[in-house]
Amino acid sequence: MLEMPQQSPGAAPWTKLDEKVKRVWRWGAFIGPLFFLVPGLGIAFAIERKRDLPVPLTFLVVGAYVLIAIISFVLVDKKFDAWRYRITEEDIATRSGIFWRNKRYVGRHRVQHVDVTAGPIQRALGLAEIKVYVAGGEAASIPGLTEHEAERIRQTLLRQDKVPPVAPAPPLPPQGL
Amino acid sequence: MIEGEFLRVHPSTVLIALVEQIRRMLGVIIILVISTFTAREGDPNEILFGALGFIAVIFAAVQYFSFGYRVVGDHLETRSGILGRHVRIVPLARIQNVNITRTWVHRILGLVELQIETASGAGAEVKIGALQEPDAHRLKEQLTGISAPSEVFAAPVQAVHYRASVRDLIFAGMTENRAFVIVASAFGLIAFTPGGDDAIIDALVDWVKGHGYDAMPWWVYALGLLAFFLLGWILSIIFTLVQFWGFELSEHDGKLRRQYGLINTFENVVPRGRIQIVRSTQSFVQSWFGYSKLHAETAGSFVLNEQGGKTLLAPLVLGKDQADLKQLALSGRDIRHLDWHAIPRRAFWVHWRWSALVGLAIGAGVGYRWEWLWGAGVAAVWLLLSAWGQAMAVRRSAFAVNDELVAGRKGWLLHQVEYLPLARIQAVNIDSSPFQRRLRLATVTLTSAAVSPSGRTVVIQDVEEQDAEELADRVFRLSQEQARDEKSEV
Repeated sequence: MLEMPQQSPGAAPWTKLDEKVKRVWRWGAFIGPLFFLVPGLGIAFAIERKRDLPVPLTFLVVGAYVLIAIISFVLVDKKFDAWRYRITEEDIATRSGIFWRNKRYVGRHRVQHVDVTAGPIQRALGLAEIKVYVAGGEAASIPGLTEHEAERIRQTLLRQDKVPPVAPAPPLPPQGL
Repeated sequence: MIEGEFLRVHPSTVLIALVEQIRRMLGVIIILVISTFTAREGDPNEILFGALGFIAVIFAAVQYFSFGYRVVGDHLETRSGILGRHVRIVPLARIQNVNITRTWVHRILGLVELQIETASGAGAEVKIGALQEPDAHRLKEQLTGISAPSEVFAAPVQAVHYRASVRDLIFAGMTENRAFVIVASAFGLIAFTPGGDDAIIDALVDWVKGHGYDAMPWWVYALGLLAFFLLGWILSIIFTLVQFWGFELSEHDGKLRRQYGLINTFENVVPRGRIQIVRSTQSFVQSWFGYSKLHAETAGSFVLNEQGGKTLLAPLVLGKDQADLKQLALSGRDIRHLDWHAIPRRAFWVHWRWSALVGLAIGAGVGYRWEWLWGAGVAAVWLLLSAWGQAMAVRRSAFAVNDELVAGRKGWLLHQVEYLPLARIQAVNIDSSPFQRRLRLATVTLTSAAVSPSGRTVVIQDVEEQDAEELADRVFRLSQEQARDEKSEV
């Protein structure tokens, strides 16, 4: 497991993403590298037609695709464990990454607008992603929220006046809408 | 001005638009001219030429006849387009800035152009073509509610803070070499010349051969190269002189006002509340003489003359005057008493290992292709040079925080110092790569609201992991407090 760095005492606890996001990422592990596979195969075919190579280039490309897909598939659990978000009265914070770790802090009153987006797989699972924009552009995004939770966070973030902290969440309606 | 009726701009707008079109299509025109000379019989160059010219004239005329503007109540309305009618309404309260510029064509005709900026960021929202000076002033007055001075370029100035002398500009042109741009464009031109792949080079070679240099000695090439760079150097000086002629930075109603240009004059006012980051850069040659260049990254500014939001404050300023200008741009925030923290020396390994890998790969390539001894030599030189450069870069890298701003310093061949007021920070990031974590280092990125994507952040690389956390925490907390205090400003 990952060590959790000590946050300022009294801060709201970090929240995990919805478990279902793992399924989105597992699909993504195979779909994402397709963007490299398809043009890669095209180039490999073109080169193979032109000249004889000692190694079958197309097999190499497919092999690389399978390898990348399997690695990202296996790492989904770790990625999920590494992902946390926290929304308090003051700020929005996210932390993520297994190897390349990243922490983001965005002040609540800096928020310009908030997007709720969902791809086809996310939509099928009833998930959505929140994107937070500040004056400089996109500042943070939280994937893998239930649609209900995403909408609730959006509403909270857009409310101008001080609202009760989000983290100790009020009772949610039953999951799996 | 009569309300309710759309007003036309000055008829010379057609001419100005035409010149602008020609300027924009200069590349195409040059290629066409060259290809007319190199073309074979029957190439349709003349027809192409004619068609292009015709289209340009039509466009300019359409632009003129379809464009109208009026001020209705508290709105500015513009209308354009013949097939697709386009009406734009800008509330006067939203107008941040009205700039008056003139290109050389404007100057000949005694006209000016009005550029109207709103807070939305990406450049001038509305451009009102060519107006006579008095009209422009009346309109500006109407738009901003501020009475205009009688002469465009002689506004009452409270205090001039910086004025570039001819010597400054020549030195700036000398040390900021644009020769690379000239070389690149020359190669680009040759590569794009139709009618035979290397027509120009072949012609050159033929010409040289025709003059009896069958086998040119090496020094001819060397001299040619030298002449080429010298030319680039001189051109660079001339460009700088023409572009920034009479550069003046002054304070005007609490705003910063800049004006410059020999052929195309440019006058612009920057509200200081919109300045996000102040950055000074100096090439290593400039650093020997203690000169540097000053920029401000702003939220919402001109993309026309300057790349998105990069506002030049001083083309070249001597070290001792720099602090004053920086403090001026930072609304008086203190930069003189900064407690600089160096980054740990072991940060060297984070970056050097990549250039080391590249060097080894190049060495291996050279060795495989030619001679292994050569490969080893190349790799060794590369490793040493990059190690030296990286060590210098790490030694220069430092950061500082006080109650008002964050500052960062970095660079080896190009020194850079940047200042970001805490109240301007929009978001804080901490990143660490696997290798950085092994060395217990992290990178802190502070994002502002500046428009330029490359210029909106201050990145403090490779600080101690603990320092990164503390820095991020402190900076974020302070920025929250200060931003709340001056919430009305942004």
